[in-house]
Amino acid sequence: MSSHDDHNHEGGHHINDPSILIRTILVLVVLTVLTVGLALAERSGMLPLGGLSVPVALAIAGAKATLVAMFFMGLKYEGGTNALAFVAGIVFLAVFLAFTYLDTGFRDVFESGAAVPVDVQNAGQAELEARQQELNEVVAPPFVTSPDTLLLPNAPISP
Amino acid sequence: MTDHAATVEEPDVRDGAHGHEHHDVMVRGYDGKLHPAHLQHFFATPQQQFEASKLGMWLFLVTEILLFGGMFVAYAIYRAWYPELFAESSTQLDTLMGALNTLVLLASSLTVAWAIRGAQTDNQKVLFWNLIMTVALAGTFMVVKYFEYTHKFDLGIFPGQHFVMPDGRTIGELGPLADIEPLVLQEEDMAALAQHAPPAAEHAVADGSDASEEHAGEAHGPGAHGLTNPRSGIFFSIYYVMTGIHGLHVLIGMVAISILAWQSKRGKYSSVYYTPVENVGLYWHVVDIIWIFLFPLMYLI
Repeated sequence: MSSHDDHNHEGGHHINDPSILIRTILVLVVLTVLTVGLALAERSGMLPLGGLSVPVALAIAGAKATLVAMFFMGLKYEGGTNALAFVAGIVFLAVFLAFTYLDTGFRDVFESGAAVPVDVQNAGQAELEARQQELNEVVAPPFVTSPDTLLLPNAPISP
Repeated sequence: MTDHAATVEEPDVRDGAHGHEHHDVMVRGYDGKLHPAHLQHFFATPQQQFEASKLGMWLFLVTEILLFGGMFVAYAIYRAWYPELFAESSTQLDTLMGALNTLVLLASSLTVAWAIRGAQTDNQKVLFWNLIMTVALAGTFMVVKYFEYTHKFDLGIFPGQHFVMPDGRTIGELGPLADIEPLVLQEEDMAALAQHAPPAAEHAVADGSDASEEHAGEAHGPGAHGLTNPRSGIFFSIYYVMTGIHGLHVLIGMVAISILAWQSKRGKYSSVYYTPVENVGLYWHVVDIIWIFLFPLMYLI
């Protein structure tokens, strides 16, 4: 990053430096190959990353995005205003994700049963209603006051 | 009083690296002084105008981040609810195709950055051809995407309730998800489903991805994807919406960059004025950044 003498060309525009562009794309390609390699190795069972696989893949993606923003989009060479807007957007996205997860991720903790997906819940409710319906339809057998003469012709007739 | 003063010099002729003198088309403003023709009267300097325009672009890009952010949140929530669904469904995505498309988009980011350098150094050839290269790479991305999509359609992998199960029924025809027990089918269920699957389906599993024009549908057979989770439609809804809206952004970018290339051919951009190239470039890099996250989330993990 030595060749930035022409930094203030045209009143402050940074001119993209070929060697930095080339180095950026090389690192981006290496990171892509790395993340694909890790995923394939894990899939074949050679490298069980377990719970680390998602954070590692996201960290690599984050590094790649940072490189694109810094060197291709030129955030590194300007005042902080644009970077502030961009980072603020990402912060609000994080707030969005975090608070949504506080709802969806802990429904079973705070409200037992509510973590069940809606379709399962509805089916359970339908089943409950069907059973209630069945119970309602059951008619209590009448009390036997006298023996059935058809079934028991020889039964003594009650007085 | 003439509105148009003279062009002092052709912008192309001068030395780009140390161009502190503005050799621009000058017009006399309301204040009676000469100003560059592209400078709006409410800006003090071209530099200020450029910075303001760029900040506006960044604010738009933040709304883009939030647009995709909503979908990334949906992805995260459903992944937290159904981890096994995501692990199973993502096996249907072709990792190498996704990796190829990642490299293609990264290369297109480089060509856009290089095109801006071309404008900054008044090299019209570098500007024009890098813009053309970018459009070509974006087209490559869309062609790969087309093959990925059509391959999935052949297998009956549609979003939501249109997803075709191995027994040939769509998820919509299976009835409410909760009625299907067990939710993740066991070994014996899979064996039973395999028996009911159309015979063509087995061929498709055996011979891989040979989508020929003769009987593409039959060769693969809808449902011959091996996914038995009746929630598969959820994953593919997320997949199609996220990659689809991203693809739409690629198409819009292709149109915008084509217009830039056409304008640059007419000599509209130089080191004095290249704001549209810069701003479309920023947009294109964000499209790249979105894909940088979509690729591992969908294809890898």
